[in-house]
Amino acid sequence: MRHPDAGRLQAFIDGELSLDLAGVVERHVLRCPTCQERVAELQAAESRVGQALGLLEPVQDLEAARWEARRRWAVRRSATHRKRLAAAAVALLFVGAGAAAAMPGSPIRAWLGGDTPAPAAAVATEARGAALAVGLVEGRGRVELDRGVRLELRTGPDDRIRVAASSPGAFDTGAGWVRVTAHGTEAPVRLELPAVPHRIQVLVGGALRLEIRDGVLHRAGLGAVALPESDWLAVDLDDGGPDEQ
Amino acid sequence: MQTQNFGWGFVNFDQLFDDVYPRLHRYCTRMTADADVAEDAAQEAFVRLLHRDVTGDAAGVRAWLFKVATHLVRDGARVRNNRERLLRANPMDTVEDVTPELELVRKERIDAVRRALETLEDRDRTLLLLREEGLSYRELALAIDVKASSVGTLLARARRRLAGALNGEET
Repeated sequence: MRHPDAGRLQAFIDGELSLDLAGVVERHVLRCPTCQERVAELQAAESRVGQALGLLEPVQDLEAARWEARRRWAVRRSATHRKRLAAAAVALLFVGAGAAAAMPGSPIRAWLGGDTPAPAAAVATEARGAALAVGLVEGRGRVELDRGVRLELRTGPDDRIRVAASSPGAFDTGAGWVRVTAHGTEAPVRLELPAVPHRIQVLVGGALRLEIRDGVLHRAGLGAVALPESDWLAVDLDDGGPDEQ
Repeated sequence: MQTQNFGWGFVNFDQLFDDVYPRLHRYCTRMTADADVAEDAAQEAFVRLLHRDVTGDAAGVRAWLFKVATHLVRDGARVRNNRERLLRANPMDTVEDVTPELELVRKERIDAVRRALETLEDRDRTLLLLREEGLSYRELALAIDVKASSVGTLLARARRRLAGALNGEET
């Protein structure tokens, strides 16, 4: 057998040859002082390199890294979702306008035909009802509720706290905080919390009951629970722990 | 519990992360010498794995992660134009209870290793560091786009060059 080249000897050392080929190379090396010397050189280089690279050992926090990867993924998924929704809304608008223009007698059709003046621009109104959004202040926010209120949580689409109350109620807001008062106890108050880094406290009757940090609900004695992104997480503020629907 | 279909069956994300992330992070740290860039690249590779429909067997997924991280490290280094800063940075854990003199010696040795790594061609450095993280020849071939049959030759040459550069740093 001819001398194996350096690549084959390296693969032999690394255990990357097939059994048959490794046997052939091994038999040759055992009989060939030249190749024994080359194998020793390759092993010495490997050892030298391994020792040197051993000096470059990073500090690692696996838990923190895993959490950060998940958080980034959640943010990116939300952004993608918003883009898709926006694209779908634009498409729907065009389809709707096209359908309206095709309908005999429709004002849009008449407008396009030049029979009537263009309609005045619609005044943008937002039916807020019992809902509003509050921005965070340096990543912090506070929500204050009355006693007896049912609360549901999930991760929201943007960097604000969104509060929705389906029963009649009153909102007071300020920079980074919102207070919901005179809300009935039948329907829940729903909070959508940002996907960006945040620290949000929920006070009930003036007492701190929950804290949500970066999408994870923390409650004394109950550990941590990650907020869902589509379902609502119902939280009993009076007793017991959160319970995902 | 997070599961994701990577095309070779359902895998537990935490298990995959625990298995690959430490090696990926160490690889990125050795590639860049910048702790922030390294951590960012390693995490971003996993984010992209979750976000995209990556298919392949386990080895293919590992190779994909290392390949993506390699590009991210290179891009990060290029954008920041931080070559000089890289040599000054010290991403390693600080050892407590060591004298300033010993710490200085240690930092000098680390810098010497970094300088030796910098003398390698990009592909040689990548190959060497990937192999140090336990990638098989097949995974290496996938990660750097070469034939598996060429990996042994490239690896032997890269090790010889780095060993030579390390010896040169010592003289």
